Amino acid sequence: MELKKVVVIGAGTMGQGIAQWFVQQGIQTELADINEKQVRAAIENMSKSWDKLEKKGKFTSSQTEEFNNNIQGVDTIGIFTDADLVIEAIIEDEKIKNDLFMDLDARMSKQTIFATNTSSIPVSTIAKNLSSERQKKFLGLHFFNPAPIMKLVEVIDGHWTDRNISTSLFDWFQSKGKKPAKCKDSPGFIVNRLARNYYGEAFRILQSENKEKISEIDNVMKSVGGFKMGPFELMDLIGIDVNLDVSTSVWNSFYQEPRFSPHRIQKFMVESGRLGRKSKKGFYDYE
Amino acid sequence: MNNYVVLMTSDFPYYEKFRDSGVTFFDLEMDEPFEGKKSEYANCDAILDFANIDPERKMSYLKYLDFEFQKPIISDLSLYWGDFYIEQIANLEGSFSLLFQGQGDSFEAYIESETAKKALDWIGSITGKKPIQVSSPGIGFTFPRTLVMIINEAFYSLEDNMSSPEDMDTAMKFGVNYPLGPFEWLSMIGPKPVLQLLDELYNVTGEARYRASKLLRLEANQYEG
Repeated sequence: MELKKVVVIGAGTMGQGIAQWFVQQGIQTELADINEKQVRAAIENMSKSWDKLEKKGKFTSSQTEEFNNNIQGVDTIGIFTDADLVIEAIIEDEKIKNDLFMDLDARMSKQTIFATNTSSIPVSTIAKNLSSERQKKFLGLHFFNPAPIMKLVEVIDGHWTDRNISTSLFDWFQSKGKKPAKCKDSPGFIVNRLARNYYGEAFRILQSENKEKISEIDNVMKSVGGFKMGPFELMDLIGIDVNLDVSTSVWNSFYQEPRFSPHRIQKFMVESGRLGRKSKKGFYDYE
Repeated sequence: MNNYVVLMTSDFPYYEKFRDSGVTFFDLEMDEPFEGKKSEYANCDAILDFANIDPERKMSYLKYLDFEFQKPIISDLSLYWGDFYIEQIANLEGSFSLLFQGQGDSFEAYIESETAKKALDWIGSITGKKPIQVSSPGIGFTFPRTLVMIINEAFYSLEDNMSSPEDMDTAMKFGVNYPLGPFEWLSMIGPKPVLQLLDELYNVTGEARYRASKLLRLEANQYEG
């Protein structure tokens, strides 16, 4: 497989990171968003990041010049219609995603592969209204934040996905230094499903809010397990509200399966405005 | 001078290191650990137990050690409801978790006496891991309990045909920086202890979240066979 032109739709944190990574592979990339200001800011951030990396010796000046030439910001109307791949990284809203892809299906080349970076909506649900030819070219590509650094890409087969396409993309990502992992269209995919109990079990061990025990559990998981961060400090970093949302979404998708059940302490924390680092109060204080 | 009696099953990690450590060592399957050995127990500072056996046997075996020898006991309770054992066994002065091999440089230790502290420091010197004190052993301590839940979910995902073991290992290492993937950890620990701890959690709490995957149970039974 060869990718020459890629479009990333959504200039938020994930979209920016995904676009940056594709540019760094020497691919002509367009970053599109309905908010032009956000696109400009995202491209400026990328440019600053490349400057810093050039100063650190990670890239040469000719590489950063090429990167800057290979990224273009556009609105969603002006995108390459002949792109090889479109990756959507917009708000997690089923209807908005459906509408976007239906519009793109009508306008873009029949050869273009469509991918969603969704973390919580089934890939097949997003593809349901597309033409049958496009459904075969539709899959999930789930990147992890920060996308230019984190190596994992979950390559998700939807109900209609042509397995040759997902396998070719898997091989392509591997050839570019990513660590792809293939999975089926299932709630939470791999990481957001398997990681649930890293947090969920920590709450069951904790039982009730206790600062010393929180610190003990984090310390054990790092110094005994070898994990980089303990479950509570990781929730503080991710956002306790975001973590609760993901837990609740997976739990509901599995019809309230007890293995995924969120914990009352999470809910208390969110309801009392203790959301982690971003609110300066979480399982730890950050004043 | 370290004057300990070590009791161990052969599937325990660090078996050779403890066997060759110079203290009185009994393999619970190969040796006769009790008959005619009273003097070894009478002269020791503490009995260090590393038996990986089912919970009912573990309780009656610890009660036997407690009653028969009246010596401090320090026991690996990775697979058991440690809080209950501590309450039931008068001379159980410390417990620890070494059966599940973490990738860090420490192991969990619950310490109730100076004798237990010294014994756990000695265990640390043999294994090359530092004891870190925890407030209670709970059910299967913290690291084993969390790990078995992650591995169990990986087996449920296999049952659902969601992904392959290799892809799940890749995803957890490169998506969330886990030191090992769930199946890599499983290959180090073996499926049987994972199943045993899940069953202990399920039996003690009665909570459905601890039901083991059928595939894990099958794997553990095949492994045993």
